[in-house]
Amino acid sequence: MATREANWDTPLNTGGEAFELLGNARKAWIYTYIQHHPSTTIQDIVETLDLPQRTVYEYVEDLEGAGFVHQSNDGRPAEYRAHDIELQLVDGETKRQITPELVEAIARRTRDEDIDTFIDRHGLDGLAVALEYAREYADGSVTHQIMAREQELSPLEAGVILDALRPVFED
Amino acid sequence: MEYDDTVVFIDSSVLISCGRRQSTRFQALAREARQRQTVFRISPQVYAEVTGDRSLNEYTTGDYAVDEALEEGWMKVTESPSYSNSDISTVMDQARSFIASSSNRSEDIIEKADTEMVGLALELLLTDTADRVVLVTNDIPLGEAAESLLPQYGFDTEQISWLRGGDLADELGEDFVPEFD
Repeated sequence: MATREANWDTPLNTGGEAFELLGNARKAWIYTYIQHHPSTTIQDIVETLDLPQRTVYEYVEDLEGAGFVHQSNDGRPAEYRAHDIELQLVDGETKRQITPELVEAIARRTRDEDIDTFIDRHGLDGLAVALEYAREYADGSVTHQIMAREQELSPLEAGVILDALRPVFED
Repeated sequence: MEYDDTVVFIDSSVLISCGRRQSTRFQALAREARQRQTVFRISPQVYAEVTGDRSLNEYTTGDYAVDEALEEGWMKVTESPSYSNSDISTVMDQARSFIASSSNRSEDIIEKADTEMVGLALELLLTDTADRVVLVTNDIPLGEAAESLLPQYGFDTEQISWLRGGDLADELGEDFVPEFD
């Protein structure tokens, strides 16, 4: 490489950190918390998430390195704001998007056992599909029975996951 | 049948949501029934849906809570709507079309049974068993179908209303993760 310092602000590097978020619910939680509370400090996060300060520092630094959050003040303590994440993934016919909503859904698994169970049963792809239905559900353009039939789930399971994901779109 | 001033129907989407937070949300439902001095109605289809799949016990949904509510007497399962009455059968077909159109889907994906609550509501009004019906559902197209179709059978709009669970009781609308509110 000609340059001495690698440029980390490139799609594959950013993508790497985005994938890390999908597999690390606590990091996803921190990103989502900053997104919902602009000008958040490390201390705010430590107190609400009840994680060791060292871990929070490390995760916020990772998020900052990937350009997902940035420091929004000059002084101390540092305050952070989040940027939107928008990555498209194409695998043959299947398209997936990594968005703040998907990251939030993953963050919610730390607090909502039903989302955790759904991901265990249907994987992250299943979650991404459910999230699209949840968007329609919050907009009032789908019922839980329609999701159940289209995705071959029981109406009960469709109802559970829609209820769990609905708040992502109801701010 | 006994005359009731106002009859409140609870849909499966709301019962599933309550099951996820059994202790707080079911208690809130019971409290609402008590305060309104009413017995909430659920259709046979709704009962089957929320208690039928006990293989899904990995989820927090408390299907037994519905049976408890029935035993405690603040909720009861109605008869099926009278499909043989042409008005009732027609309103259910119309509700099916309404939901298909609001969800931009083919009617094949919606079953007539999904609209039982609308048929039952009309039946109570037609038979003068109730003066007013309230449908509680988180499935917005279903609530809108009821509110738009039932007045066409000669009733005032004030006699028909639909609510989301959170409109009936605050606890039913609360977010599981308050930090993201």
